[in-house]
Amino acid sequence: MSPRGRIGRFGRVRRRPDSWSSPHERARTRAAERLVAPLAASEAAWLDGHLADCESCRSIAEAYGTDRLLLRQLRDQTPEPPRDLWARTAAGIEREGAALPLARGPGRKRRGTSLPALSALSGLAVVGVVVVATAISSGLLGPVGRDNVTASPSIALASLGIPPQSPAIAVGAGKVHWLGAADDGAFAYNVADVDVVCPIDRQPDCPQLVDGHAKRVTLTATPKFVFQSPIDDQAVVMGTDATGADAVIVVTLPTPDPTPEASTGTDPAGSTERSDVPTPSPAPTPTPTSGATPVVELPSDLPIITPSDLASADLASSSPSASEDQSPQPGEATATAIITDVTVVGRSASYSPDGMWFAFSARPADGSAGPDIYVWHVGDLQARAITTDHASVFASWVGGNVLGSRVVVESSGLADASPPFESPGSEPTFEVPPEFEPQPTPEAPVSVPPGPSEAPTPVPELVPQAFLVDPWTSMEIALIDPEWQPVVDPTLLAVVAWQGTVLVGGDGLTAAPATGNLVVHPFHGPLLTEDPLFSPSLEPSPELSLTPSPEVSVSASVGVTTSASPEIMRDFPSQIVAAGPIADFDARWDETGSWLAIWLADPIDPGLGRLSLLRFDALTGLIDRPIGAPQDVTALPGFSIGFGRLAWASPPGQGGEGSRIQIAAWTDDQVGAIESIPVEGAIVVQ
Amino acid sequence: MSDVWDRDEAAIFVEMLFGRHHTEIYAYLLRMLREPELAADLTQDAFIKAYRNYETLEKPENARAWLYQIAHRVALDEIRRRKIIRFMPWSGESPGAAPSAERLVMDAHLSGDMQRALARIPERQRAALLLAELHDLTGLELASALGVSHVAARALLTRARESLRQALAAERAAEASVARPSEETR
Repeated sequence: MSPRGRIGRFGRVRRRPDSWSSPHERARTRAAERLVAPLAASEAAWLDGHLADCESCRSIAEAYGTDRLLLRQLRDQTPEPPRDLWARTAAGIEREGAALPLARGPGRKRRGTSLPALSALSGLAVVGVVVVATAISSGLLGPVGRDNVTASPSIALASLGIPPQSPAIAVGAGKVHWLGAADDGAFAYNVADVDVVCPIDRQPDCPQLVDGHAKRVTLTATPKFVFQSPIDDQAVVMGTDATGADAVIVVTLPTPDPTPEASTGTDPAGSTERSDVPTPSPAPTPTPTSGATPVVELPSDLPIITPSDLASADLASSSPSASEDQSPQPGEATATAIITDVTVVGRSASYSPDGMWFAFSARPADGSAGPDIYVWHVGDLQARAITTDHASVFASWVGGNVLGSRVVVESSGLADASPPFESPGSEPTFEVPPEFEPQPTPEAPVSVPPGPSEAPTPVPELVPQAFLVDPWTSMEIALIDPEWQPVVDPTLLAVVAWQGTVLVGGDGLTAAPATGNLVVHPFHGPLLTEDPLFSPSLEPSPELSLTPSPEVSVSASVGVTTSASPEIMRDFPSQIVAAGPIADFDARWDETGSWLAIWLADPIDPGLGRLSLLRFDALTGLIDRPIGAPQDVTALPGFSIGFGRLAWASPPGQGGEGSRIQIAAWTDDQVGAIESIPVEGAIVVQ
Repeated sequence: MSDVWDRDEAAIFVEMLFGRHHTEIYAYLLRMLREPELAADLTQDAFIKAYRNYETLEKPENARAWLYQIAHRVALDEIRRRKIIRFMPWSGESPGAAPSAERLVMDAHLSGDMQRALARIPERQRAALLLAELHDLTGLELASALGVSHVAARALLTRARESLRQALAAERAAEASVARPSEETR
């Protein structure tokens, strides 16, 4: 059959993806595609070359980028649904439920919530819907105007469904992930179901968490922190490689085996009978190693790792030095070193909420410059710096933008736009906020010793600046509040940050809080700017009466918030959650913005710290610490918080006993806890 | 497993979904249809349909994309219905129907070059842009919500960007042509 015949038969012949009517069409298509995902290196190079020569295509590509920014600024105009929407919807659901046929065939498979708990709730559920609907419509609960804040009133009913005298707290299904040391230099990836915890007053009777489904993982770097993607099994491992420098490696975590019904080995009734949980053995014996990865032999009877449980999930770094020597094994996961030969700075690294980016701070391992913020986009081979001043550190994500902070001026008002960190030949890229404009002063400008070869000189206390960066374009905009390491809650209502001065360390390369306090306060958003790419989004929403910055009052909110419910306390008072001085901190919100965990580094041993769990009430703007919530518990760096759980590793115990994974889990009105058996080299997957 | 148990689980689950996502679903429907009351009605419909079709949700972690898929279909159904039904032209003010302050605020929200340009492009392209850029759906979520393959979703998004660029240019040209005579009269 002739080609014409085929065309006639099938109508339109589909074009091959790499078949273009013209190079201009190809360029414009690729320019649009590049906005959502990086192009292949060859295609990106071709596009850049074409755009350099073709003014028309370049103009269109720029328009795509500009239009995209303008479009995304509509996020600031999130309208508020009617207050009675839930009442209407609940009534509709009730009618719908009544109209459903009595028999609907075989029941669906269970989801996360435990069947017994739901069965116990079945009589309450319909009543709950009606009661909550009535409460919302009558204003008792207020509107559900803020995503995830007043969510899941039925979950509250679920917790109330458990008899108060019960010794266990059902917290819904959820998993906790951690790494432990295995033998032969490998690590064990553990996943444990945690759906029942013990009240705080029943801890001595509480069974210990056990996982018999660990997967063996081999890493070419000794991990310090592990971050799992919020959307899949991909993880980022930050650790020290064989050269002694830090590396950031992307791996695919092994998929855990199907977990048995009672994988925690806990007895919700509080029984201490645990036939499936062996007694922890005496202290394990460290094994000397010649490589960079320390190997610790686990006792043979420790259930976390058993030979039969081990699965082949070796994760070898694909860095040139590692990958050339290792033949791929069947089923072997791949790993990619997205940056090497650096020193990771701080503990605030994290995935973006959509799981498409990972941000962290790092500086050259040779100490030649201070830190910059790096981002890695899923699918890319390398991380890239989005700041170039060698003085910036990542703090948190604000939607799809990176929130960072840097030190710019002295607290005395002495102004100097130079970054306090040594960065030979580099120019600061930030703009000093108007209130920090240089003032004539006889004092010497801020300076920092240039490198490790010269003796470090202490520097004065400096004032920080916070800023937003678009990870795609690296464009920056300063925030209203000059503060250090602001961590914004996912709903953009509140922020926890260091308010005060910052001291650059003796090495001249790192900074830490100096004089001030760790404060929770309303998130005020960015400064208004004349940058045409940013300014439209910063126009205040009509319902908000604002004065443009720099005269903007600290209590005003700019239109960057996702909700404008008047019931949400946007002007709540600042609250000190940790009074200075503190050595360092790591603060993280849960996905609802209602729970906040803060880890404060020990001033003498920064490898230890104190961890606390706080609750934030969006309706009042107040912070409290529920009964049973961890308060100043000793914890290793790195914790995870989300989906009603806070997990951390406690320091190794006496007698050589390993760390324990500690988990606090909560419902709307109760907080309980559970811990694992000892785990060597425990690292919580964040 | 009893039917009653299923209903209760569905009610609880949808209630939780509502608490978490109703604001963004409402915003999406409002951006698609530009009518606050209609968007509220369709948001209600979307959650009722979520309850009715609870059994089709395979993984709870995909609930948000699943919800957007329902909302998207609800929106497209409404748009198709509008294309069939010709409403009587509304002329003049209704007695005692002065626009509320809320309505004025909403109108202000929906004004502007970008909103008008969005309204000019095909609805599926508009949906793709809104879901990807304003509602942060990933590529796979976008494909799921739109009911197309990942590749098709990406192509749709690419076409949408070009349509938006042209629509914005048309909006600006129209604005300039309106502004020019007024300047001349001055």
